[in-house]
Amino acid sequence: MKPPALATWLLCRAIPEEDRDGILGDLEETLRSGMQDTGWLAKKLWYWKQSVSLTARFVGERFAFGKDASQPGVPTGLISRSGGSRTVLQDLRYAVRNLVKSPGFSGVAIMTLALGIGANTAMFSVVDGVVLSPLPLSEPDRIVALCEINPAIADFCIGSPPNVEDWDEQATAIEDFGLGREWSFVVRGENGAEGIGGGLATPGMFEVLRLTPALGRLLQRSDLEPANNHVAVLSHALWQTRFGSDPNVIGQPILLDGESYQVVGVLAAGVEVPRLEDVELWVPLHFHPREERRREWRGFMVYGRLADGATLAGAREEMRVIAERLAVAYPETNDGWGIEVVRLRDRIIGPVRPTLLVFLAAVGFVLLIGCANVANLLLVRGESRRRELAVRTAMGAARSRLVRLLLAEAFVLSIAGGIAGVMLSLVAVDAFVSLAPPGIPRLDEVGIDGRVLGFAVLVSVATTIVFGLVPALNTTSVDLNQTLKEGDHRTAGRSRIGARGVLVLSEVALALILLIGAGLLTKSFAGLLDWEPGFDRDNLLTVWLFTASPRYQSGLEVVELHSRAAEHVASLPSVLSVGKTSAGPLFGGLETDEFTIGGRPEAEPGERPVARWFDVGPNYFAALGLPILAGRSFTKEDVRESPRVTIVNQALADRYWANANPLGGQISIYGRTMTVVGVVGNVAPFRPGEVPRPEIYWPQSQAPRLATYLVIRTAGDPSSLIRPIRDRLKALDPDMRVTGFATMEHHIGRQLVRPRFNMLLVGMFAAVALVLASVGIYGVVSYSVALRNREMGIRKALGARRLDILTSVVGRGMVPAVFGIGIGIAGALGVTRLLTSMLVGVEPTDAVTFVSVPVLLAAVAAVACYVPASRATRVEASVTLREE
Amino acid sequence: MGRESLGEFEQLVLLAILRLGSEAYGVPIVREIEKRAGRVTSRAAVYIALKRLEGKGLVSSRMADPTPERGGRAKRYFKIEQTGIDLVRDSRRALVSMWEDLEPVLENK
Repeated sequence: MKPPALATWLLCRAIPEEDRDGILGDLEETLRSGMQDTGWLAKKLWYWKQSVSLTARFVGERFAFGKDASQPGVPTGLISRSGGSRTVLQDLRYAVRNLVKSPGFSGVAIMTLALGIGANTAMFSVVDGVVLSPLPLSEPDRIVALCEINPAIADFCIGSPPNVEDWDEQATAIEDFGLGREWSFVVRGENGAEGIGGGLATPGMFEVLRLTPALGRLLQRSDLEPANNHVAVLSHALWQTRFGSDPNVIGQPILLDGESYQVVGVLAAGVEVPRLEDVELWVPLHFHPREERRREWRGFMVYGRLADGATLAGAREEMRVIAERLAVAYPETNDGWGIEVVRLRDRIIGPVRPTLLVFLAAVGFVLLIGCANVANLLLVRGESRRRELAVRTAMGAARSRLVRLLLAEAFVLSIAGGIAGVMLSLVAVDAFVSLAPPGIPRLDEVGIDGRVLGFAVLVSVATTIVFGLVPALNTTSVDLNQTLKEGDHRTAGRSRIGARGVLVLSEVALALILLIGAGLLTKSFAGLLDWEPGFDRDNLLTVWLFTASPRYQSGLEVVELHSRAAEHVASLPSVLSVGKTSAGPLFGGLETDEFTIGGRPEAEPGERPVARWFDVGPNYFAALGLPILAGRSFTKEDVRESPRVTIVNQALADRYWANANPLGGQISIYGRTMTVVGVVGNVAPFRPGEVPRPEIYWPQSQAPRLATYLVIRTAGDPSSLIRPIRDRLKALDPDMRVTGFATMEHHIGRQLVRPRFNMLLVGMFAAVALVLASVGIYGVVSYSVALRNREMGIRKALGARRLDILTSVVGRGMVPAVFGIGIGIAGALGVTRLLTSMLVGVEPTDAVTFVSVPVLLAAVAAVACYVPASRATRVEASVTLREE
Repeated sequence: MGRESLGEFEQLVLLAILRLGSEAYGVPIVREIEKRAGRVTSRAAVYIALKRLEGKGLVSSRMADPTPERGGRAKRYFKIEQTGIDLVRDSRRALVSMWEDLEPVLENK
């Protein structure tokens, strides 16, 4: 008969593995051959009796064992195989003691892990704060951003008030709509005119976002009537700074652009409108949102709240139908325009999400490489403890017990690394937040909190498993006899090198992927540095002027004031020339719209020509240094009453007057028709690989507005002129707002901040990865050289040349590196696609990078192999052999 | 601390191993003790004693090839080490010397 399965199972739990076969075999042998005359029931009972008594004895033995002082030299509990918290604690205590005994090893391991875990924790806290955690709004998943989109005009996520009014009437899937935009005001302060970041909004915006006032009320529908619209809601911060947290602020007047507004409310502390965070003061739209002539003014952020039970897909479908309906009702303004509905959170974090995830992946790689290195250290350490472990095994320690013991060491290391890492990440998060380029939303929400600490713990535990398990299994798979017999004569067995080879291979592969990513970003960044805009980038200064004062009756008067300002500045010594413009290369908002060309058939919606447009002063092209290629520039004779004129850039002329003369052609935009009088050179796009876009310029005198940039060409360093220019402008009119002095180099620098940050961060991770991987290769080769010391001594004694030995050692060391490079290239080909959004003018599979970086890494790996190899071969054969 | 002393049951186990020579594994050890000492012996006690003796370095063990009549499990053969031999010798000497001249005393009781 066979032994009862349940009894056998019980015995297997109770009896240590090393004793199991002997005892169970004995029982079965007795059962089969020693009890022929006994009935099956008696046999069964006998077996059960043995099982119960054995189980009781062995379990009792296990608990008594710790107290047994008869085990000289063996730490208590190390022989018995056991579960239970008591032995886990013992394991941990033993591990700590062991690690304290070798501070060098522990220090290096903990530092490596702290770097990896710290970088990961810091990056996770950034990703968590920016990408993962919900917006600080009520039911944030129901809030959507709505965008009017036109295939011809990309990156457009805004809408016009009359359209939003129509949506609100027709839509059911979205219950509330609201809109807002920035609108700067001039406020009279102690230091003359001061700018204030204001905003226009409809009451719906506050409703959608469920914002609440700290004092008074927010905007309401009746505030939109032109008779009542001079009311203002303050941000909490403005209330504190400008009104000294006055609790009686409600009802007080505030003078904005020379007009009196009444304060009706203060927003609660910390409340911001997403995408309009800089607004310090809200006023209602200064026109009624139903005003038909505003339908084309698509200049507002639109927010909506999904109705109860409505889905995003349902809302999209409904809005698509509404867009079609509006295109029929208002073909002039709405033909060709669709509506996009996205969750507000996705709209906000969408652009930075891929970048942050790339960062997270990069630090993940660094951690894995760090783990591989620590695993390597543990393997080497395990090697030197092989004898100790063999002795333990010989004395009856189960393999599972030894594995657990080694895992406990790994665990202690990773927890220590985790604690150091979290401390490191506190610093790293601050550094990231302060160094991060502008434009990463929600960075102020980033910090180390419970979730982040949870992540750190998770990473630490995962780290234990990743770097602890392989060495533990590898080290404990000892052939007892062999190890004990070997004594100190260590040889480079294939299997012992195997695990390390795999670790090196993975390190090299991961490092290569990071290096290729860093290489691509560097190449992309270098491309940006070489920008040749088509004009002289040096000695150029810009400043923004804004005048809203009741003293000037019309926009034209303001334009004349600004022209006088340009002349005043031009009269300063070392100013060569001054131009005016609404925007320019890398500064000012870009305004893009459709236009039509006189005498040509009306194009289908979506195929109409699109251009950026600028209003400029007569001297702009000269001051910037853009050449007039045909016709003339604007002059002072181009005034409001004279025929409307325009200048187009070469890109527009080439595209729409391919082989004809554009001069004398007619261009219509915003209902005004202008005659082309000149062609100006292109400004080369900042991003390499892009083609120049069509551009239209017209004189400010024929389309007045209250703001302009001055573009100032100087003879020497432009920044030294900021003060005299400011003084001269203030002397001209103290109510003129003068802000935003910046050199062209500064504008360029601003564009470089983000790519530089990306490059430096990934580059830093790649550098750490390279160092760690080199250390890994170095360690493995050193170790294998140490194991082969004897072999090399013999070879040398037999007359092998140093070079032969060197080649053989380096060759062997390079095998995992070369495989790693191969795998790394394959991996990089798959992974660098993720970098696409961060790369400019460089393909994610750029051949130069994919060839040069692996060559570099191979060279570094060769050096890492060569150093220990050459050291070993320099030793005299006799010395080596004698040592052995 | 001086040399360890052995419990009575441990002595029985060691002596059984010595008697069995190259055939000393669980089943015969139990049988040998039962036969010679004439007492019913708990297997569990034997195995625990063997484990302790091995822990003290008095015996060593090796695993043999698995056999079918044992359900494919290997035999664990035990061998007494020199320290084990010394210890049983010591305890025999001690007992013999204690017993010396005691027969007449016992007969008079």
